[in-house]
Formats: sequence, C-alpha cells, structure tokens
Amino acid sequence: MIPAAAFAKEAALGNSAWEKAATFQVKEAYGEFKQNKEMGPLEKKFGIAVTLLNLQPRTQGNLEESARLFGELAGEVPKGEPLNAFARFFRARLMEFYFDPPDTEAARQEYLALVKEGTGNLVVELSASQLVVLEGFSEKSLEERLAGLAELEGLAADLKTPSGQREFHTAMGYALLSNGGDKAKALDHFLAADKIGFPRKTSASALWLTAGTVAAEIGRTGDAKYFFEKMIEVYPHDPRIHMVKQRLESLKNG
Amino acid sequence: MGESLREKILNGIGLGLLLLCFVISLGRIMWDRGGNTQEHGESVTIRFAHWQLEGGVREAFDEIAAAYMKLHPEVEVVQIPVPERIFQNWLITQLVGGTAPDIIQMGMGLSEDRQARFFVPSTEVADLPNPWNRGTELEGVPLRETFIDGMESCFNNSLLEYYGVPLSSYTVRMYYNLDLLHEITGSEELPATYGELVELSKKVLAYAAKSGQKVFPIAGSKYNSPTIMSRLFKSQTAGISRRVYYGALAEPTNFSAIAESAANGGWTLDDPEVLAGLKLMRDLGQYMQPGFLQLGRDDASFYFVQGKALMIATGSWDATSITSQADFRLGIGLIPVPAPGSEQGPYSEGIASDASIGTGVIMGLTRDCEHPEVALDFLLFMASQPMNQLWTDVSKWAPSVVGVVPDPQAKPFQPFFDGYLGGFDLNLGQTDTMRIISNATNRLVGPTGSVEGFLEAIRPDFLPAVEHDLVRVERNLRVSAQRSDTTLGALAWMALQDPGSVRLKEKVDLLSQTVVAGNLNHARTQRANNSVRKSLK
Repeated sequence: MIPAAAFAKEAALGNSAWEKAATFQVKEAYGEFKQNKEMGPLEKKFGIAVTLLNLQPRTQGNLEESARLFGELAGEVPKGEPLNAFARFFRARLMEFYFDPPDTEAARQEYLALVKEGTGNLVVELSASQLVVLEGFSEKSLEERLAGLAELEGLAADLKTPSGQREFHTAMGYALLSNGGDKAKALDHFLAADKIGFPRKTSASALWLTAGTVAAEIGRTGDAKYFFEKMIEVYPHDPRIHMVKQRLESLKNG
Repeated sequence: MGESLREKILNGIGLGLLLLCFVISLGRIMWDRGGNTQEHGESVTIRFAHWQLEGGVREAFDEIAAAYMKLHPEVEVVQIPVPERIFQNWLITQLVGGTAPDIIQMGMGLSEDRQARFFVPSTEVADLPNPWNRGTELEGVPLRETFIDGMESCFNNSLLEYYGVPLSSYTVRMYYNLDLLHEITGSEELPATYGELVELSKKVLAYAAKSGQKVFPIAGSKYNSPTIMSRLFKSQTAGISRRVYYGALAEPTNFSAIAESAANGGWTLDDPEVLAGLKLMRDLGQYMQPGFLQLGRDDASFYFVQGKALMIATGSWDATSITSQADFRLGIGLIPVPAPGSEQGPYSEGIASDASIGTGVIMGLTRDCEHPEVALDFLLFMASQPMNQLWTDVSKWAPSVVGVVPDPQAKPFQPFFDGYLGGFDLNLGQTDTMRIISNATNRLVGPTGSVEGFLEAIRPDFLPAVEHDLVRVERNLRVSAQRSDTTLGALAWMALQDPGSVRLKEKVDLLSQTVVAGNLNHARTQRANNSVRKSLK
C-alpha cells in the first residue's frame, strides 16, 4: 500500500485563501481575503482584486472595484517589484477583456510597457502574447494587422523566461497564419517555440502538425520531416498518426 | 386499577424497546462512522459509486472488489451503482451532505469548482509507479504512462490537474446479426466499404420482400443515426477542411475556421463535397426503418435484438447489453465509409480512424473519504494491469491499461488508428446549427426527401444559426478565459512566495499555455463571428 504522502499533500490543497482562489473557490477565497487580519495590506488588496474578477454574480461594480484596487497597488508598490507588474497586468486585462466597451489601446500600452520593463516573470511576460493577439485579430485592415505584427517581432528580445518566449512565438506563428502572413516567418516562430518545449500534448501536437504542414507547403522539407517525425515518436498512439505517416512518406518520396 | 397498571407496564416495555432500538441504532451509526476503523484493528469500509448499469460492469466491479478483499480481509469494498438519470442529483446531494462515497465515477454533474472542492487530484500519484503492477511489464512505470491515452482524459485544463484514473475505453462500431446475415447472404463476411454496405442493404430489402418478414438493413434512431451519418458526411469534407484551414491536420473540425470560411465563401452548401456527403446521408437513411428519426436509443436496440434489423451502429458500452438480450450471434466491425474515388463517395480518403482514444469510466477519490490511503490503494488496484484484464474479461468492455489483452468480445472495440479523420460535419458540432440540420433531416432522408429539398430548407437558416453558435461559443470562451485570470493571479502570488516550488512553477507554466491558447481561440472565434455577421448584412 502506498503510504500516500503525495495523496496527503494533494488532499491538503484548497485550505488557504490563495489555494482556494487558484481552484475556482472564488466566493470562499474572497470572503477569507476580506476578513483576514493577519495578511499584509498589499497581499490582501491583491487577493481581493484578483477574486473580484470572478466573484459571482459578476457586476460592473465588482469589476470597477477590482480595477481600482489594482490601480492603487500599481501606485503603492514601486515599479520593478513583481506586485506592481502583476497589478498592472491584471488591470490591463480588465480593460481589454472585461469592460464593455473595452479600452484596448490603454491595455496595449500597459502590456507594451510591462514587456519593455523586462520583469523576468512569466505571468507578466504573457503581456507579449497578449499584444500579438490584440494586434493579429484587431479590426484593422489586413495590411495594418500584418504591419502591426511585424512591429512586435522585436519583443522576443525583451522576454527572459523560456515559457514567456514560447508563448510569444506560438502566438506570433498562429497570428501570422491566421492573417495569411509570411509562412516562412510563422514556421521560424514555431521552431523557436518548439525548441523551448511544451508541457502539454494538446498544444504541442497542434503546433507540430501545423508547422509540419506549413513547412511542407513552402518546401522546407527538412523542417516538415522534423515535425512529423517528432509527432510520430512522441505520440505514436495519436489518432492522426496514420495521416502524419502518409505525409512523411510522400515527403520522403519527393 | 389492574387494567391501568397493565397499561403502564406495557407502555414502559414499549418505551424501553424504543430506547433500546435507539441506542442500538446510535451505536451502529457511531460504529460505521468511526469506530469501525483500521486503527482499532477492525475492518475498514470503502464505498465506490458509478452509473454504468450496463450488463457485465457491476459483475466486473464485484470481482475486482472480491479480489481486493481476499488480499485485505480487513477491508470491505461496497459497490454503489446509481442509475444514470438520477446520478447528477444523487452526486450533488452526497457531496454537499458530506456523505459521498470514497471513490466516485467522474464526468457527470461535476462543475470545475465542485471537482476542485470535492475531489482529490491524482497529479502526483500519476508520476509514481502503481505498486499493483509489480511483477508485470508495467512495474516501475509511472501510473500516467500505464494508460493507453497517457491519462489525457483525466486532465482538467482549467484546474491544471489530473483527476481520477480511467478503467475503460470507448469506440463506436457497426453491430451485425450474424445468423441473419448468413441466412440472407449465405456468408458471414462483414462489409468493409460503404459500397459493400449498400449492396448488403439491398439484399436485406430483397430478402424482406421475398420472405414477407419485416426486416430492415439498419436499426436507426435519433441517437444512433447521426453517428453513422456524420461519419459518412465527414468522409467527404476533409479536402475542404485542408483548403480553408492551415491547422486542418491537427484539427479538421475547428469550428471558428470552418465558420469563418463559410462566411467568406471558402466553401458553400453547394460544393461538390458537401453534396456528396448529403447524398450519402440520404442514401443511408433509406436503409433504416421508417420513422427512425422519432425513435430513441432503446427503440433501436430493441429493434436490433428482436432480429428486425440486420445492423445497428452504437458504442462499445452497449456490447454486453446487446449480447445478453440477443439470441443470435453478433458480428462487430468498423463503420464502413466509401472507398477512395468510389462512385458513392468520390472525395473519400479511406477507412475512418477512431477520432480519439477516449478512455472513460474515470474513478476519482473524494476529499472527505475517511480512509484515504486504503481508498487510494483500492483505486490503484482497480487500475492495475491484472485488474484491468479482469475488467475486460468480465465486463467485455475495452481496457484502458497498456498491455491488457481485450476479451475476444471487446477486441473489435480496440481503437483503430490506421485511417483518416475526415473533415467537418455539416452541423459543425454546434447546438443551433445542429438544431436546424436535425429539424430538416426528414427533408433529406424521409420518403419524399432529397438533397435539394434539404438544402432549400436549411439554406436561409444556416449562416444565422452559425452566427448564434459563434456568439455562444465566443461568450463561453470569454468566460473560460476570464476564470483563468483569478487562478493565474493566485498562482503568480503563490509562486512569488515560494520560488523553490517546482509544482507551482509547473502549474504557472501549464496555465500560461492554456491562457494563450484560450485567448487565441477566443480571438479567432470573435473574428469569425464578425465575418459571419458582415456576410449576413
């Protein structure tokens, strides 16, 4: 019988306000943040602001209060400290994704500033992929979208965490393809993302199969073979493998 | 006076008996609640619940429980089968009331917050070897890798944890009445292609006409028919998926990509591939019993086991029930699709692959279980290679564990991957589009139906229905992405306080990937919605 130390550890999850917030027990987490007298004021404020994002029913008042608290934190905590960046990231998220109408321009500027600060924090570095999504799927003309994406290319240099870089390259690759952009450039982004590695099959397999297809289309046979062979090696039981093998075979046969 | 004394004595005895019963009941409850524990050197009771009442499954669970109790006489394992129709309400009552069994089948009635609140993740256990695999080829292999799908079915994308372990796998197949097949054709060879299926169906109709017996080729219902019709339609649309979506090899049915291209003229309802798919659906409908679209799942099964239909398309979960009810021999094969370049399905690429491995019967540990170590041990015992072998041998359901040899009856249900996934279904897998297709299906497969009549019926409503679906999907994706933000904020804070925690780092990494994929998906859907809306103006 397994002594189940791991089990005991897992069963203990969900006991603190933060753990509850991380596992969708938002109402309980919010209540604990509000009533907690031992927590530091900044931590408490951040906890309340984060849970207000999803406290049900979601009201305009809750969202405005959340934005206000994030704003206060951004003012109280000096730039360069992680909590300052977290607060600004989530405030930008509110502006972009919660408020109606959204203030995408303000969100874009905040995301850009966060990337340029080079925080080296993965969550904050997601700002770069958010910028790609905002630009690549905006309602601008196709030419403007592609030009906007081209301007964002340089952001990769500001990202310090491997996962932040991976997500940026992934988003860029897909955004370029979704806009009929340069396939070779999209493929380069996919290669860069793949070099870092994916923790989950869903994203990895989708990227490998898309990248393999694109590489075959533009005649980069070596890259196509690389992605298809990797898929076959890592996920030999995947239901798409038969088709992948066929693609690979046709590449080998020229 | 004497009468009154007797009455008092009798009342006293009655009251005494009542008190005695109360004390015994109280003692029994206390014994069950806590006194009856391993700590006291007494027995432990582990209860597990599920909704699989199909034939053979309860027996399989009983045998596994008996095998465990033989090894652990101090443990009593109790199976609680709960009918599917009341399972959800029963589950919520048990969870909220704090009376939930130690192990419960997961998947029905479990929102993410309930899952997080009431179930224990199996993430860390997944990385440890299953001790009950000792002496097998899986000895020392991490639990996760002992399942044919790597426990993918157990992973919750929002909670970023694995929950439970799977015991079985599912596939959909065509079942045949072999005795009837022999009587009609003189052979027991099953059709391999759609063309052969049509030929066989014609023979059945001729046999029925000649013999005067009421026999139809295929038992249909609103439950079974869409499965086979969808597979036929999809066999024709792979080319369109590839033409309109760069990611078609990864996901040929991507809703937003297919919907956006429908709005932008990337494909139309009049494309030859669509027409070929509809013709296949119409033709197949002619071989099902009249009025099948109004019938339910049980009606079709009854039709088949009564020998009134030669074939039925349904899942592996029905195998034991059908076997126990049918007094004829069963044949089971893949659902035939048109051969490449054939007259019936010119756009077919070949045999259809099973869309996913789809392990199921996922059993999870509840947080309130009184003897977590024993419950975990029994869970791992159930998921071991020897017990999964027992599972398939008794239930006749396909196994979930690597290296388990399926029972001969379960063998035809082993996932088939040497085929093609096909393209998209006309209903795009979405509620409103599905509804208008379903409402008009009689115009396609009914006695006076036709492809033209069906298209005439759906054409005005098709894109508006797609738009409704896009609005709903976009809203759901937005809510899902918003929900991730609180988790992301909480994990970001916890990781900051505990920079050495590998687990937190992994969770932040996983969530980042989920967040970006979710945001991209949302943005694509929003754009598709704008395109459809513009095209409707």
